[in-house]
Formats: sequence, structure tokens, C-alpha cells
Amino acid sequence: MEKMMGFQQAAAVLPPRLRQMAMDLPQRVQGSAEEIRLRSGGGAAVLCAGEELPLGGGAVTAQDLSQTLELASRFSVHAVMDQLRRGYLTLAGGHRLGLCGTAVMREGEIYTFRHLSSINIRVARQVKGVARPLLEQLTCDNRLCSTLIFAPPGLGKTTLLRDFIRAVSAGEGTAPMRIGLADERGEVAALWDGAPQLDVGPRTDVIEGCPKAEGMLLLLRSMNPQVLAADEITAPEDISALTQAAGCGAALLATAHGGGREDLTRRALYRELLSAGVFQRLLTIVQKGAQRHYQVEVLK
Amino acid sequence: MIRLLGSVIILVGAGFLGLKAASALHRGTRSVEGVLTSLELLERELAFHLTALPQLFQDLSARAPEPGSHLFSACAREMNAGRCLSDVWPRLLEETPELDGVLSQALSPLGQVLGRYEAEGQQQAICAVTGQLRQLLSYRRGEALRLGKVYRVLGLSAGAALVVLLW
Repeated sequence: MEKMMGFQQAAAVLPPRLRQMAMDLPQRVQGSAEEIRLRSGGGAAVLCAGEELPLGGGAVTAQDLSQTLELASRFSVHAVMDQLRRGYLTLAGGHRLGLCGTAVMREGEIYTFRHLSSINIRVARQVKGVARPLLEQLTCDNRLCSTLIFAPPGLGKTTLLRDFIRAVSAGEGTAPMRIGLADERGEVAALWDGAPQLDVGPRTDVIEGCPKAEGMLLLLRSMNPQVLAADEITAPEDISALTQAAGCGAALLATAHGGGREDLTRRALYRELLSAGVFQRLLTIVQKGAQRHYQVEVLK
Repeated sequence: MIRLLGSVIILVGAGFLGLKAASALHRGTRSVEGVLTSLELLERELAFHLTALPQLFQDLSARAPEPGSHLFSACAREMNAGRCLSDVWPRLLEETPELDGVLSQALSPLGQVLGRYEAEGQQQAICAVTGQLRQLLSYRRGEALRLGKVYRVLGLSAGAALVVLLW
């Protein structure tokens, strides 16, 4: 039921014609839909279990795409320009609308899109409880140890991070702690009108839309977090901010992209991250068949 | 006695008509002032907070003076119902009391700009409209000052002249 409501919330930004067709889909499809895809000149489709099911209703027009963007931005392009430049918009409910089209460049950066060619609405799914069995290995003296979640893209690092934040913030399996979350791209908490659309726990303060390093330092200065969390460590400034936070006594929770454990020693950025010695646990996610396995390693 | 009473009624009635005409001029001035203040608030909020329009209109409807308050409230209502501002703007201008033809005409380009461009673009459009409105305000203030006195005196004089004729 919750999944179906999530789909309907995501479909609410579609133009009335397509919205009605989405709402008319069988409950089973609505409940398992992962994405809604619109391609100019092509048909609208819903992605379920890796398969695109046509939504019907004929070809999607440029008008349909611009109307979807208008509805998604609440008729306020100025309020979402920063997100638009990165090619996505966060919607109410934490759903995410991705855009493609003819980009307008200014000073070497995407300024806006002149014509839209495709829109992809990813239906937000929160997997609550996924972190719970791992927490025991990540705590010492009932306190969370600084942990780096390391895995290739698409294996659920952000989902796991979000659930760790929720659990620690709520005091599930550990003492409840104040968490500062630097959510640069709004993927973890998905703030909407200041309220997190995805459950990140009752003791979590979120800063969104600013570079992680800056956000983490701001959280340290202003919110006195016991745990500092950030998604996707990608820059030397992030490592510097994490080192500073560790020096202030905050436990750290962060994710990083990588193909395998060996990437941590191969890539200069991650070598630096490890040599900083700020993490006590390394959690790697490995896909074996349809199953995901979590491995926790104690770092020296 | 009845003649005297009738004369007084004519004098007061004519004077009232003169005052009413003069107050209509002042009302026109106040409308422009109200719209100007409302647009200035809108411009500042757009520049500073980058708030989404439905929320911004909702917030400003409580803070802006009339007729801006009425217009903003109607805009918030329509946008929250999923209607695009450019589609409903002309109708909302028409339906807002105290917005005369000249004011509506000055405001009409905003319907095609608000919410559709970056904040700077919208600010420029608001500035262009407020520039026009300032000219209109200055003109209307002059008219109210000049013609307001004329209408008041004219009302009383016309009443007095009628009384003299009747006597």
C-alpha cells in the first residue's frame, strides 16, 4: 500500500492525460514500479523489475515534458535552477525527476535545458531495517564507530546509509545520537519545504544543496552533531572536512564508490581517506547472484 | 421651510458627488501604491529566498497591501490546484477588485514571466513593471492633487448654482 501511494505521489507531476493512465494501472504494477519514463516522440512507460511496461496514450509530446517539469517545479523554475543544472529535481515524497535534452551552456557549465527530450521519475523506496543486523558490528560500547560504506554504484549504499542514520538517530541497536547529515544532492533525506521526505530519524539535522565539505563544517559549528554523515566522498575537501570532524570527536558515516576493496588502496583519494585514519570500520557491499552481502572489516 | 431644506439637500448632495469623484482619484493612487509595495515584496522574496511561487504567493497574501493581497491569494489558490500562472493570470487580474484597466495592463506581462525563468529574469520583469507603475503613480498623484480640489469645488459650486436657480 505504501509503495502504491509512493507511485501515485510520483505520478502526480505527470500531465493530467498521462497521470490518469498511471493511476489506472493495476495495483500490482503501481506497487512494484521503480521508474516512470517519458521520451519525446516515444511512449510513456513504467519500469517494473527491470522491464519497461508501456503506459499507453500515444506519443509523448514536448508539451507533455515541459508540463511535467512545470508541475514538478511547482511552476517555479527559479526555485529549482540549481537542481536543474545538475539534471534532476527532488519531488515531494523524495522521488527524483531526471531530465535530458538540449543543454544551454554558460561558462562551461549547464545553465538550463532549452528542449527536453526525456524525463525519468524514480519512485523513492525506503528499505527500513536493512541496517539493523549490521549495527552490532559497527558499534563499540554502545556507540557507533566511524564507518565507511564502500560499494560499486547501484548496490544500495545510499539506502543503507539512510537506514543507518535513521536507526542511530532513533536509538535502534545503539544509544540514540544526534546526527548531522550533509546531503549535497538531496538523495538521503530529500528535503521538501524543509521536511525530510525519507525517514532519517528524529535526531537528524540535514543541510542540503551545498558542497559536502562546507556542509559538514557548518554542521560541526552550528549543530553539535555526535555523528556526521555524508553520501559519496568524492573530493579532497571532503576528506579534509571528515578529518576535522573526527578531530572534534564526532563519529563519521560516509559512503564511497568503488569496484572492490582493492580500489581503496589503488585510488589516491581513497588511499588518503584511509591513511587519515578517521574510519574504524569498513562496510563493503558485494552482489552475489540476486543476493547482496555485507562485509564488515575492522580498520586499524 | 421646505425650500430651505431642499436647498440644503441639493448643496450637500452636490458636494458629496464632488467629494466622491475626488476620493475615486485618491483610491486610484492608493491602488497603484498597494500594487507597487506588493511587487517590491515579491521581488525581494524572489531574490533572497527563491521560494516556489505558490508558497510565496501564499506568504505574501498575508503581508502585502490590497489589491496585491487579493491577487496573490488568488494566484496561490489557482497554482495549488495545479493551474499554470500564465493560463490564469489574465482572469485573476480581471477578477481583482481595485485593479483598473491601466493597472491590469501594466501587470499583464508578468503572467508570462513569473515562475518560468531564473530569479534574475523575473526580477528584471518586475522592475520593468514597477518602473511603469511609478510613472503611473506620479501621474495619478498629480491628477488627484489637481483634479481632487477641482471636483470638490465643482460639486459645491454646482450645488450652490442649482440652489440659486431654484430660488
